[in-house]
Amino acid sequence: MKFIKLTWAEIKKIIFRPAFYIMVGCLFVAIIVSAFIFSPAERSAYTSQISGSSITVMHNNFNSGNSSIIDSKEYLQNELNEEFDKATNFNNQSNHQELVSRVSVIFKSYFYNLETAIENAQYTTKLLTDIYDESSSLLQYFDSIKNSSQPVNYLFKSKDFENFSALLRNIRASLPSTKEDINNLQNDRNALITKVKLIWTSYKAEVDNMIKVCESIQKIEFDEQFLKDIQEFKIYANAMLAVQAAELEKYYNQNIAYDNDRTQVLEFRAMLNDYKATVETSKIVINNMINIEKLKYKSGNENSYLGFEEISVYKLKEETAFYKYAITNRIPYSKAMTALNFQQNSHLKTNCYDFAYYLMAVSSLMLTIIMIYLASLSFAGEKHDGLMRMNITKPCSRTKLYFAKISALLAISFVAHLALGLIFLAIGACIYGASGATLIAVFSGSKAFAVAPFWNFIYKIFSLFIANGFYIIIACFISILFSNPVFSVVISYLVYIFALLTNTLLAKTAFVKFLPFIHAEHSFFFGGGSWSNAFLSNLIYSGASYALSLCYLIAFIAILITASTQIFKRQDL
Amino acid sequence: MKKVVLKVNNLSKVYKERSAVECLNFCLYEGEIVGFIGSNGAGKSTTIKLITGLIKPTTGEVYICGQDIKNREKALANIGAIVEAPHFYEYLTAKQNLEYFASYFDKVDKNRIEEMLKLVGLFDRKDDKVGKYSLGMKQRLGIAQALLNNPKLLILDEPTNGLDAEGIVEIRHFLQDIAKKTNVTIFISSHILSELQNLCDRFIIIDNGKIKDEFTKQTISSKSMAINTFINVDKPTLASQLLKAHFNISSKQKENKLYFFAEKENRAKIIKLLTSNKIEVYGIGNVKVALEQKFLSSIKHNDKGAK
Repeated sequence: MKFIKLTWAEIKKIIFRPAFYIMVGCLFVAIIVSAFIFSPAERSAYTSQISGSSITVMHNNFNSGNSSIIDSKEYLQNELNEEFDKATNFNNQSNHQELVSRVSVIFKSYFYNLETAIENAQYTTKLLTDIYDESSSLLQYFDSIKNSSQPVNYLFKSKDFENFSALLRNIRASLPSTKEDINNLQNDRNALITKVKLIWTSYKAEVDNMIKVCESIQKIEFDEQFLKDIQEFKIYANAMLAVQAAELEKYYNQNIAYDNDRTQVLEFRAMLNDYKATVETSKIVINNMINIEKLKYKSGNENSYLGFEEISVYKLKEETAFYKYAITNRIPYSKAMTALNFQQNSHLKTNCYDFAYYLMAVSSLMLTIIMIYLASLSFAGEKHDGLMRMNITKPCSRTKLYFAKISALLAISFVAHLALGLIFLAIGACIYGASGATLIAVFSGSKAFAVAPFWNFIYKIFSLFIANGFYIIIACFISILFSNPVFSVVISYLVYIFALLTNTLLAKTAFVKFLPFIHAEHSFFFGGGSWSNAFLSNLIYSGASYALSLCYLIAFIAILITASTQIFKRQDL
Repeated sequence: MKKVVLKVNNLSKVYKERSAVECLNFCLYEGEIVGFIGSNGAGKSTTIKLITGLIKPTTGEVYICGQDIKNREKALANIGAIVEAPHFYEYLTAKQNLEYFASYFDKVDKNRIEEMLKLVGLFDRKDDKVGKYSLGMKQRLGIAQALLNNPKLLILDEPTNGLDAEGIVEIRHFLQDIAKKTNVTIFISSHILSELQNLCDRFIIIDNGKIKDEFTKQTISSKSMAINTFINVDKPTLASQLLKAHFNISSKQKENKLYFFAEKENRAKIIKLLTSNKIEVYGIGNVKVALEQKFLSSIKHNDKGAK
C-alpha cells in the first residue's frame, strides 16, 4: 500500500515537472508534423508479382474445346510434383550418392598415375596426356555439381570446391600442358623426370590433405519426419490447387465465357494469379524445407552458437512457415500477402493500422528520449539538488524508493504508449477507415498463426513499451552512479545512440546478438505481420530464439536492477 | 526518569584514512532541546548523517526510540530531520511538496498537512510555488515536513544558516513554541552560539570528531561561570570600586564599559547607586557570551589535555 502511495507520489512529481510539459509539447509537435508528412500512397497491386495470366489464351482454350481453360494447368501441377519427387527421393539420389568415394577414387588414381609416370619415365607422354584429360573431367564434374539445380545430398563446403579446383588448376599449370611441351621434354628424359618430381614434391602435402577432405565428406540424409512433412504438405498443396482450379472453371463458365465485364475479368485474373501463386509458393516451401534441413545439418557441424541459429535458417523458416500456413489453411496468395507485409506490399488501401504504426514509430522514439531524460534526473538530479537527502531521511528503505521511482517511470511510459497508440488508431480510423483483414503472423521464425490486426497492434504497444522500459532501467542505473545530472543525462543518451547504431549498422554482424540492446526489440520475432515496417525497419535480427532472447533480456535487466539497488543502498549521501 | 529518544553508542565514521567522527556516545531524552556545537569540520553534519541513516557508520550503533537505525523503516519513523539545508521540489507548491513527503508515511492525511502549514505560518501561501519562497519560509517549510509524522525526535542541522537576524529570531521562537506544544525532542546543530544558549536545555560540544563536553544550561548560567551584564558609564574606575564595595561584584573594564555578573533584581539598585554617586550611566545590557566562553574553554581544555 505504502509502495503504491509512494509510486503515485513519484508519478505526480514527475508530471508536474516543467521539463515534462516542454518535452510533451515537443512530442506533439513531432507527431503533428509526422502526421502531415504521412503519405497514404496506393500500393502496387500484388498481381504484378505473378505473370502470365492471359484472358485471350483462356478464351482460345475455351473456344478450341480444351478440357481446361487454363492452358498451363497440367504443366504447373507436373512442375510442382517434380519438386515434391525431388524432395521425397532426396536420400536415394543415385547421381550424387557415390560422390564421396568417386571424388576420392578419382583423386587418388590421378595422383597414382602421376607417381607412376615419374617411376616409369618411358610412359610419361601418354600418362601426362591422360592425367591432363582426367583432371579436366574432374574439374568439369566439380563445376557441374556446384551449379546443379538438383538438391545435393552431401555436405560439401563451397570452400572445398574452390580449394579442389584451385589445386588442380595449379598442378595443371605447373605440368607441361601441351603435347609440344611434352615432346620437347621427351627429348631430355632426365629433365622431365626432375620436373615432374619437383611438382609432385611441392604439392604432395596439399594433395594428401585434399584426399582427407574427400574422405571426410558427409552424406546428408533426411529423417522420417521430414519425409512425412513433405508428403503431408504435398496433399495440402494439391488439394488447394484442385479447389482453385475448380473455382476458376466455375467462375469462367458463369461470368467470363460469354461476357467480358471488366470487373469480372479483373476478378478472374486475380483468381488465376492466386492459382499460379499457389504453385510458386509451394515450390518455395519445398526448396526452403530442403535447405533448412541442409543448413541445420551444416549448422550442427561447423557453425553453432550457443542456442543461436543462423540468420539464413531463421529467415528461411519464417518464409516457409508463412506460406505453409497459407496453403494448409487454403488462404489464397493475394490475401496471404496482405498479411505478409501489411503496410508496404499489401494490395489493401492505407488503413488505420498503417497510420497508427507510422505515428507510433515517431512517438516511441520521442518517448524514449523523454523517459531517458526523466530517468537520468530521478537519482542524479535529486542527489545534486539535495532532495535525495530529504527523501532518504524518511522511513522507507532505499530499495523501496528505487522501485517506486522505477515503477513511476514505467507507469508513465506504459500509459503514454497505450494512450498515444489508441489515439492514433482512432484518428487513423476516422481518416482512413479500419481494416478487418486477418494477419498471418510468424512467431519466432517457425510458428505461423492468424491474428486480428488489433491484437497485433496491442502487442506492438507492449513491444515498444518493453524497449522503452529497458532504456529507463539503464538510465536509472547510470543516474545512480553519478551525482551530476548533466553527466547522467549525457551518458544515458550516448548509450541510447550507441544502441541505435549497433541495432542498425551492426545488425547483420554475428556479435550484435551478444549485446543486450537488440534483444529489447522483440517485434523482430514476429515476421509475416506488420512488424517489418516498424521504425528502423532496416534492422535485421540475427536469429536468436524468442525464449533465449527474452531470457537474455530479463537476465540483463535483473543484473542492472540488482546492481542499481546494491549501489544505491551503499551510497553515502 | 525520562525516556531515552536517541542513543548513540561508540559511533565512528572513517573515510579512507581520515576519521570524521570517533567513538561518539551520548543520549537524548524526551522533551529536551539539545544544542550540538562544533566548529566547521568538527563532525556535526557527519554525526547527523549517521543518525539519520544517510551514511553508514564504520563502527557503533544508533538507536532511535529503541530501534536500531539498521532497521531503517522503524527507526526513521520516529524522527523528522533537516540535514544541511531544506530542499524542495521548487516547481511544486508548498502543499504539493508536503503531500509528496507525506507519501512516505502511513498515517499522514491532508488535515495533518494543513495543520503543519498553519503551525509554520505558511497556510496562506500553501499554493505558491516553493521556488518563490524566501530562505526563512523554506526553513519553516522544512520544519513542517520534518514534523509531518509527529516525530519524537526533530533533528535540525544549522536551521538558521543563511537567515537574517529577523529570520533567526523567528525560527527560535518557532522552535520554542513547537517544543512546548508537542513535547518533541529537538537536536539542533548551529554555530550561532548565542541563539543556542537561549533555546537549548543541554549542549554537546564536538571537536575533531570527538565529544569534548556535555553540559546543561544551568551550568553556564551559574555565577562562577558567567558574565551576564555590561554597563556603559563615564567613570568606569569609580563605578568598579562602588560595585565591589556595595555588591561584592568583580568587574572587567574595557574602555568605558564594565562587564560583570549581576542578578536581574540587583540591576536597578546598581543603576541607582551609580547615579547617586554622580556617575553618568549611558546604557546597561545583557551579555550572552557564556556559552561561547564555555565552548572555547572546553576545546582549549581538551587540547591542553591532549598535549
